[in-house]
Amino acid sequence: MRRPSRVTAWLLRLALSRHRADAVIGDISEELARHEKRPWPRLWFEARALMYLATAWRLSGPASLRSARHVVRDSIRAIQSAPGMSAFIVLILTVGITAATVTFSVVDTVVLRPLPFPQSDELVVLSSATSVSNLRAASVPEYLRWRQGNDALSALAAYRGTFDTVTFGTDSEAIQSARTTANLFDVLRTPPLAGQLFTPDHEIAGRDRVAVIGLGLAQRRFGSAASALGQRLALRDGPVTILGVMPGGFSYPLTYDKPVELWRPLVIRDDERQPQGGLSRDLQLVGRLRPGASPLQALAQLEAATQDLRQAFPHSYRDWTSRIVSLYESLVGNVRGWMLLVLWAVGLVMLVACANVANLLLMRSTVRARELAVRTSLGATRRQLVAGLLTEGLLLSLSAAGLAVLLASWGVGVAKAALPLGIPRAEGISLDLRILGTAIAMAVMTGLVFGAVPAWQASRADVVGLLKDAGSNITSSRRHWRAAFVILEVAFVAVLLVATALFVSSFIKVTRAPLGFDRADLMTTDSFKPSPQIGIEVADVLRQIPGVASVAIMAGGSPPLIMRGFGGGASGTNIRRADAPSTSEVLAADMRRVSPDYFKTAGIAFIRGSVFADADSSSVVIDDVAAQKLFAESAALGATIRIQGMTRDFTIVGVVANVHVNGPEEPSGAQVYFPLLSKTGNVQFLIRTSGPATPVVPAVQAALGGMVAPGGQPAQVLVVQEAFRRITADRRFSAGLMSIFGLLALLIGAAGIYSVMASLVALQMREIGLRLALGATAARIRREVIDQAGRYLLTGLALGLPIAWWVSRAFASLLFRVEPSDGFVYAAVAITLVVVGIAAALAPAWRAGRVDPLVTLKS
Amino acid sequence: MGKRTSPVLTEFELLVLLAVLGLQDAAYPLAIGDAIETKTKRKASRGAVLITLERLEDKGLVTSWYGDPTPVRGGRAKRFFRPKPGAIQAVRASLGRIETMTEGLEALLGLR
Repeated sequence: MRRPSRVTAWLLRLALSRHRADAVIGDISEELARHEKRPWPRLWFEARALMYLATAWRLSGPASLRSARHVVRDSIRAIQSAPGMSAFIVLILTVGITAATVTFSVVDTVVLRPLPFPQSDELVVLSSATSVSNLRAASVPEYLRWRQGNDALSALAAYRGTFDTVTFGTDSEAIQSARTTANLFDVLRTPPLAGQLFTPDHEIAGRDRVAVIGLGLAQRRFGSAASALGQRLALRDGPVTILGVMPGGFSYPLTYDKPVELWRPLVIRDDERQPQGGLSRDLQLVGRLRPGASPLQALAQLEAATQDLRQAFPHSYRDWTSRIVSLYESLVGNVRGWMLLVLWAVGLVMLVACANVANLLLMRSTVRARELAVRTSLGATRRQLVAGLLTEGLLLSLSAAGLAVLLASWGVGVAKAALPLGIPRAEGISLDLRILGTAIAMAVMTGLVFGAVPAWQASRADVVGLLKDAGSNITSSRRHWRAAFVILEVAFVAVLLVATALFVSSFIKVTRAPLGFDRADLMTTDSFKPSPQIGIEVADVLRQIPGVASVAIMAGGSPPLIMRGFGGGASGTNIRRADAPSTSEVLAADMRRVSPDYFKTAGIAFIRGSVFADADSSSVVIDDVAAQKLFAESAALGATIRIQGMTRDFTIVGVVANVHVNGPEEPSGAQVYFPLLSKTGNVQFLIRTSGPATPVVPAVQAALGGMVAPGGQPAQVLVVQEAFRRITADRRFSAGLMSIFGLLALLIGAAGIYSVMASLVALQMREIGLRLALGATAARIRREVIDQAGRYLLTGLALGLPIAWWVSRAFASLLFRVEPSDGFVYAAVAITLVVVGIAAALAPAWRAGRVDPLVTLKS
Repeated sequence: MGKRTSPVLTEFELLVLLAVLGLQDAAYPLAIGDAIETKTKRKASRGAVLITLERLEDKGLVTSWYGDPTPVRGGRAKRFFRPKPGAIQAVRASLGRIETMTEGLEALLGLR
């Protein structure tokens, strides 16, 4: 038997009475039963019911419409009569809804949403990893062994991310691309939208001139997916034929800021299959676990499969371990912590905003108690009063919702642009309508509930008493409510401020932590081959530029001072004590070839000894990490070390501080410095300026532009401070957001205190007047108002600070050198809240002291 | 106090009221609509029938009661309508007015 949808049934009952509506539904059911073969019976049923409804409303509408119009008109008048407070309520709600929606939209896309592949929880990333670098990659031999010897994985694909420049006639475009094994698409379980994929047959040199492209590229350059098939793409290394087009929205790897739009076969060369001397890890691997297989099981098999490699190349495994993590974890693991914290913070802001609006609405109804009493005495029913106040609450919330929709759609774009680089899936961020709906629903509920409660109370109250006393005898329960709300608000604000303070002080500690060198006023160039001059002559030219204080030369390809900010390869080597047997353990170290003035220019301090002389081919400088690992604390100076692949031993002439190449939050490995011997070849420069580096960049860039070998690229100049800003961008961004939310909550909280104290003073005018007439001083009255505000603040703090302490332990891992229980932070938050709260109460207190006994007692 | 006049009926109200009179104890909106459609060959929207019945009830010409629920109606009761004493008089007055107005037009209207 058919039934109408709940909504239709509800509407029918609203228009008719319950029994009549049921009879109508019965009529429709009977009519439908007569024509059993009617197509789309459900739709017909709904349409029929709606037709009854429309007729019923058309014929009975005007009277109820007219009364609804009156209610709305009265509510608008009531809102207009208190424009300041109405605007304030709308403002608070708008800010709350917008902040919540924008933040959730970002966090949902980046962190909460599952990856866009079927059964994405089975996807895992495999790598070899070392504890001292961010490198998460595998070598070709490792890949080949893992692919063969692992039955916990159903498939394993390898790829290298890269850029390709595609030429279309006179136009060219740089496209994010990947060289990948053919089974990548199987692993991700994503078939092409049109055409076909390349196969393992294409992974052979000579047969690899094929490609699969993204739908965006196909539409942009060929009009549609179908017309792109079989076309040739002109790339720098020659043309490739387009075999297939992937569906819209598909992109892999997901780690780039731009979507990947070009996939080409990964060709593994023979010399990569048979490693000589060591393993070079530059492959990214993604695999799919078999249903029921655990990552641990897969990991055990990974270790077993590479046993022969471990024996053949022990130094390649020193400090390296096999790792397997879910694809989701590898993408969002770094940002999840702070993003969820920010989400939690915005939730608190929304709560503070709602508590405040509830308070303001309660206060407003207190002020209007007399009006409601008059209306009751004139015969207004409880239903009419409630309808009026509900409409008022609804109008305020809906105005805020409308504004918030506009602001949020703008805000999401702003947030997307402001996100630090390298946030995964950031390109997919858009306004989340579900959360916008939820936030609006929260705001509307607040408006409705706290709009209706006072009306309910007023309609039950003693009308005569109300009219006599302007409402003071119905307000005691409401006063308790308001006190509760303001105390809650203070507690929420305290929690949020503690979190903000912990985060901001972490950020400050990060920016102040020593890096082992002086990053201010420093710039570096990338690697290039100067011509016709050689490195030393270029350095002389650079030294002549106004503002340049000193210039050091490094061999091309030396590791930068800050790794993540620059990218670029690390040139690593293995070192051991010269007096140790050749079978003894070696130490992996970053290797730099530098001119003697490098240390002075970088600001790297010598702990022992001093710098090698220019062209001194037998001396070396090591850092304190290497010194401690290879020698006893002080025995390094004068000792000799042996470098893998070199025939001579080197004497240690100096020990310097370790350079934190990965930033202050992550450890870095041992470092060893050799004199720069070759006078020709690729070089890099490290330049210290006498003032800020950025203004000097154009001059350096211009000087270098004229000294490039024919066909060579001019060197890029990079300011080290910028690189540091980039590696600390997540922290800066999250600390900034937390500060904004903290400040917002503090302002809204202060407004809450102000409104409550102001309404208390307004209600106690008569009492205050009487007391002043009986001899109380204005100062005493004022002090009492301030004391009352102080009591609210202290109660709120007593509630909020323990919660903050409890909550902050949960995010202790996100903090840097700050304890979650840092007493200074809690004291600072308490003082800030008390000062701001008391300041907010000053105006009402001042007003209380100025009450004129004569006027108030007469009125 | 003057003589109480019968309420004026629209054409559709007249048809509905006549159907209620004809169906006697089986007059519910669906049957009334069917009766009008079968006899007059004109369309009678069920919603309009229902609202007309409500209006006739407001005018004090019909009254309604609920029957027993039946399975074919999804366990819902029928709402039956029964004429009140003034109904016959109202129908008679309506028909009388029409009759009066057609006097002398029989030839024109082809009524003879």
